[in-house]
Amino acid sequence: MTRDLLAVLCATGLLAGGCQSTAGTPEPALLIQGDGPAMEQLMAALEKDLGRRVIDLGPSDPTLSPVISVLPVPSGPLNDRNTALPTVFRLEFDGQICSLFREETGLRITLAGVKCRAAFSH
Amino acid sequence: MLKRSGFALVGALLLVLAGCGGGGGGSSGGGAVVTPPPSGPTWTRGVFQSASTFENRCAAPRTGADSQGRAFPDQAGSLAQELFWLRSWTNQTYLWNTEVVDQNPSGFTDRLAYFNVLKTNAATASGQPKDRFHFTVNTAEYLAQVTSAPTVGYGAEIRVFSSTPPRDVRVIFTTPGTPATVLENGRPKLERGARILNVDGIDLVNGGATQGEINTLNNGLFPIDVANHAFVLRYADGTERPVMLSADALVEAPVNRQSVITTPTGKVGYILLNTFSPYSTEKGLADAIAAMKTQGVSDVVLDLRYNGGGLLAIASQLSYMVAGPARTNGHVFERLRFNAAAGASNPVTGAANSPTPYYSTGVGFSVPNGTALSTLDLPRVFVLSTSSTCSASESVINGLRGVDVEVILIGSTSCGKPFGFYPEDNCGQTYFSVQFQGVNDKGFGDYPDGFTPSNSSSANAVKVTGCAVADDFSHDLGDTNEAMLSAALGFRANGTCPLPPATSIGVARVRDTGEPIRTTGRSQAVEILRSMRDLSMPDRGARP
Repeated sequence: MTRDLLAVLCATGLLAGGCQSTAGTPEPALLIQGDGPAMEQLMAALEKDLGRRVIDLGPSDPTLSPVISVLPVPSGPLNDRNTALPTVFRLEFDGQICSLFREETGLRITLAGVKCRAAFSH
Repeated sequence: MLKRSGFALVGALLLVLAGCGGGGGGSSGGGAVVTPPPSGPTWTRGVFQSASTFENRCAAPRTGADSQGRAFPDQAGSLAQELFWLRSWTNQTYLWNTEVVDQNPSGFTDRLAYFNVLKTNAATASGQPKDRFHFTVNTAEYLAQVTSAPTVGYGAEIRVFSSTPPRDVRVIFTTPGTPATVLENGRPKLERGARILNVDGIDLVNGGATQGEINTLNNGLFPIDVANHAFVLRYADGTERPVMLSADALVEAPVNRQSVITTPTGKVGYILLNTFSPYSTEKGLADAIAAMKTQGVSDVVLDLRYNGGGLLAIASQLSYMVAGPARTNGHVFERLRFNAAAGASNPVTGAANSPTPYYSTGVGFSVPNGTALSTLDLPRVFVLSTSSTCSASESVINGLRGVDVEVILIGSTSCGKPFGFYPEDNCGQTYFSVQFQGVNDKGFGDYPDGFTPSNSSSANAVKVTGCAVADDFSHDLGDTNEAMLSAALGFRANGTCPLPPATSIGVARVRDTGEPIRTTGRSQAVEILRSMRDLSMPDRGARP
């Protein structure tokens, strides 16, 4: 059994008893499913944190990369020296709970019920 | 409704045919006449309350939500509160706040008129206004044009060189893969330099006698709906022919074209980049540089002649990819200099005033955050410029000079906008007021009269090694025979500029005094900003 598979099983609760060692230590994570309720919940969390009802994600796929970038509101050609940057979040998993961590502010948003797995094997 | 201050519109860029009645959205109350209530704020010269005291206190509050779904923050207020907000906001955030004459808002009955006096009246060394970039636009219009959605067009940039009969309207560049470049009898329908003679049966050069004809011309030149339009063109080689063009919904291409030119002394990369604004520019440039690295280019030509700027981070990435880590490590691309009262903070955001680094990775616009960027590691770069080369484009020139990468400038004087702003909405009007100056790693950012090639006759612009060369509309962009690219390659080969000297082929600076007439599909706001920058026209004698 690979560690990735172990992480998936942990995330889905199939091996709940054997996953306690990483609890409390958030690590970069990936969504297990990139569509449906998990993605809706992710987007809802981003909307709430950023105070926007329109969220456009950058190029990363949260099932493949723990880094999630949210594009800034378009500013158009009038803003010809535009300092805008995407807002970067990191998807993290502590063995039990999946969360979004915004490095810029240090804010952590819990994604209750969203299934994710550690991005990297030890 | 869009207004501007300082000087008259440049008609050459606004082909609003006489009598067409103007356009571009209605006023949001900018002209409303309201007598400030006796109980309103009171003015004491030099004493300013926080702008937040008056923020969103509106004479005519909006209801509903903006394009991002956010409820408008407007509350019932008064014109006086809007004017006091402008006054305090200017005092807090305007770069030259100490040069603004503090005027009592009670003397004004129009918020736009008051905004127009909230700027410096000083001049640059050349005598032009120090602040040429003070303008405002109705927020609804502003929001409508910031969308990244496709817009209807042919895939060609059309520019007006003469707005009054005999009119001169030409194709400046085309975008590959668009209706403009569809082949007809083996030739693209539109080509750079082609003069448009007739649109949907109306003589563009001398016609337009009736409002109906004017509308036909405007609708054909700058369509807003997907439709076919009939043109008669005279190409740069003198050939005339009719073509049928299909206007379609198009997304702006980030990198218009790129190529690798083989020379006896190595390969030269060429990139035509007309904007830093679309988020896809990040990936477009990363891919272009990666390809050039693979092909082993030893020099690169950045064609920024029509690049009016955009995202500073992407300008930084491009500069990094040209210069490489050894030249940029430990240096900043650009620092923002705010007014003195701001101290170490950004007075607009309230955050620490952090410089823009040389980004060595994707930042997440269209390249995943953290993805390493390819580098060419070049000690020099050729930049093609005109007066349309502006703002973030000039940051590339200035930023690279700040880390001692040699910039060789070919073309004409850049626009001279080392400044930037954060568009600010208050009560339905979005204000653009210069709030910062960008300076490079050496602390230099004083180029309000632009950068100019070293042999140009421009007296006040910052001289940069290179050649003054007029824009050449008789060849396509990227063609090695096109005058500016040819001059870059020639300078690279032998260190000399082309003959005849620039003084005889220089760009004539012309202000069209004719009736401003619309000929672009852009919003008025975009055209106003462009007109502030671009006063140049090609040498009339050189055109067919």
